Amino acid sequence: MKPLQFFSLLFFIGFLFVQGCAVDPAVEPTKQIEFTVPSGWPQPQYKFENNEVTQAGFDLGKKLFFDRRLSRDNSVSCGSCHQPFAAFAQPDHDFSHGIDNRLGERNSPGLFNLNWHTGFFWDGGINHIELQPINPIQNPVEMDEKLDNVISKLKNDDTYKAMFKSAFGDETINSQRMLKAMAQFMGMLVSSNSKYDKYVRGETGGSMTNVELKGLNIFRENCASCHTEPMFSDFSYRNNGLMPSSRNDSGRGRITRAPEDIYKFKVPSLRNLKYTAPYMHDGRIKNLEAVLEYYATGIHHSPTLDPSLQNGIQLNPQDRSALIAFLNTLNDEEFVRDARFKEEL
Amino acid sequence: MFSFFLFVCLGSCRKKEDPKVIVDPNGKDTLGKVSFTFENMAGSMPLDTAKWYLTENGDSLKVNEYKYYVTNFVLHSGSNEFKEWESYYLVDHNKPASKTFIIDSIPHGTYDKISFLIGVDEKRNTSGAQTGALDIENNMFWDWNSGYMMAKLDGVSPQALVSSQMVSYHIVGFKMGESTIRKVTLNFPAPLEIKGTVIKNIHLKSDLLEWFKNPNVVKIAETAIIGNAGEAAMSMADNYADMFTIDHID
Repeated sequence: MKPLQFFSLLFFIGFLFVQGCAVDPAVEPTKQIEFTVPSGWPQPQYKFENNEVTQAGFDLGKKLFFDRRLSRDNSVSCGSCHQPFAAFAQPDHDFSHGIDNRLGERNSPGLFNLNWHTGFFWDGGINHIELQPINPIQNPVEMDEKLDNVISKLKNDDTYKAMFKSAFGDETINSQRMLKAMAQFMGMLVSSNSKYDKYVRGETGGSMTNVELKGLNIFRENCASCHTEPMFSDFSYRNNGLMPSSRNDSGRGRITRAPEDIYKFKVPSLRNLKYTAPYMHDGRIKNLEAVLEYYATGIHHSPTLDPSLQNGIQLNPQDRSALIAFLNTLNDEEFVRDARFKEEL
Repeated sequence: MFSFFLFVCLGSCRKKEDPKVIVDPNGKDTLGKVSFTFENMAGSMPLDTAKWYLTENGDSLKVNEYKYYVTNFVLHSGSNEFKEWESYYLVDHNKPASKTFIIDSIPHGTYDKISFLIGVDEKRNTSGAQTGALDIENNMFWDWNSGYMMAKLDGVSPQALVSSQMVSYHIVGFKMGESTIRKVTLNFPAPLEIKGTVIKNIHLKSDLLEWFKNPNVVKIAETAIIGNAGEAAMSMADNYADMFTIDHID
């Protein structure tokens, strides 16, 4: 390319930039919502690049999240198995019920602090928060719908037309906009106001008892190498020694096809455990006491077992109680009661 | 730096339709267009989903669905090149309109070859929800293991040792070590001059039977289904990497 052509092209691009991004005066600018990284936390993976959060976009994402029309027979929404009062998990279910009462294959995890995740689902198969909702929508045992059908349903709804216009400037409804709006809602689900958080920040409401502080030390000595503060996960994939069930779910191994990844699952955050029982990728353990007993005596040895668990985690009864007392300081009551995240009825 | 600027500009403008207006900052036309037409072939015959074909190994094949991504078009002029900014096309055999498209805003000049990718680059496999040819609604995205199918061939063969004699090649893999992205470079039969308002039409042919040969002969009895990244998918991508030819330009 000759210099003159190069500069004329550059000029042309500059022109497009100005033209393409000029604010259309007919469209009311919608109120931006600020996403703040809690103090002391690392920078998130997802910073809403090309998807600035606005009140209209968040509201649209929330409506979609709770809309049962995302399923084939309009019976199941994302919120059916991810309930706000349960930190967006589903309490008391090892596997959630999808459409026609079909059972899922993994435990429905809590949804919070998702912008820090490096991969989605227990196996990390999906690499971006905006692409996460497609699988549950299309999975035959969850919502069993096709994304293009969902888009057709939305296009036939005047409320959605108006909401897409508010969020994105015109009435165009497509999967990209739908998924970006859902990412706005899901990405704003930040849980950072547990007693532990207030303790770390030195705020009122953050005074820990001696037992809880003892538990914190036990946690740091025995658990923190995988459940790293402040996310309480390093978001790596590890085999924590669960005996494979008859389903023989190979977890991360199915994604990478690497023998060394068989039976590995994403390390879950330990935040909000009070609301998200039962535990483990298949919900096989019902309470925290049983989890600690499992780590002491239940670990199944296999070639991919995590090296840190070769001898299990041996704690005496007092230490177990202290650890559980500490884990309970990670419950974020403000998060599960947050009115912004509740389904509009 | 330059390409980064482009990316920022496109990213920030995504809420709008891509501007199609040609501006002329120098008071004379400096940008032109070229159109592309893809014709899918089976050997020397135009591909017909009602007909049976013989592969290199002598297997019979009838095709139901045939789609592939062609992306990241670059026109080369000696050592200079013009890259299309938002360069993603999905050729779907069952949708005739998908086989023709226009690339515009090409600086006037004489070009000697073209290159493009078969498949979707790593960047767009890792950047979240996309639109246009990359819209999830096109059913070319895997929802359980991130990534686009680069190419897809579904059909039937009596040699397929699976129920319903299904043949299904869904070619995925964008990561290092399992990439099925293949670059195609084709010389123009004669230098292509882009100037004024004349739109040249480049007619490309792609031979579907290349999927089954050169360098790897595919036996449908052994490989009727490819549904994951890995050796089989990369081997198939190596085969179809040379399926394109420029038939003529008019």
